Amino acid sequence: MSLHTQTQTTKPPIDQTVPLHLETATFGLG
Amino acid sequence: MGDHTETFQIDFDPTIISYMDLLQLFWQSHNPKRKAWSRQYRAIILYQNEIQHEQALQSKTQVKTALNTPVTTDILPLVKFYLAEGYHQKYRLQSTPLMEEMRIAYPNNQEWIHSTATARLNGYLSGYGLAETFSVDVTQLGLSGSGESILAKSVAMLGTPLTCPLPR
Repeated sequence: MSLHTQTQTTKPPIDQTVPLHLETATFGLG
Repeated sequence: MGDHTETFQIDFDPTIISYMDLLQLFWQSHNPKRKAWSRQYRAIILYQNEIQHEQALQSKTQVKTALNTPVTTDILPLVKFYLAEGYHQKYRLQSTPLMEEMRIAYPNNQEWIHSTATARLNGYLSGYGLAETFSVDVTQLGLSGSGESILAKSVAMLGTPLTCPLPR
């Protein structure tokens, strides 16, 4: 058994479910 | 860096919004006829695969035809995306007390930058979004009760109803 400490934070509900497949788009607006 | 261009990157769920929809929004968000100020500040689409490349070219052709004028917006392959300094990230959010609450939820800088909650908060604080989704989102952003009130007041103070040209 390993002993460690970890700071627990609660993610906002909207961030708790991540879609399985994300794509990325990159734009510049000038 | 002297050869960079300022850009932004969006991670999106293609089951909710397509790359073509994002392209449509991009074209509506800048003047494609204006000559670029510089390499650093120019309108550009950086594609990441051949599908994006083809769709970007197709959308540019449509805009060119509709405007009946040359379009200066460039389409190039993405080589590398570097994150900007922290003060550029979620710029509007950073100037509000809501930022403190997000920092507690995300002590890690990378997680904070990539959070949907911070991105959406920044959008609402800038006047983007839909009123109907705001009423649902406001409870999903991880804010305290007072944080939710601050957000609701800030959005109301913008003076115009929340609107976003995203396809519905």
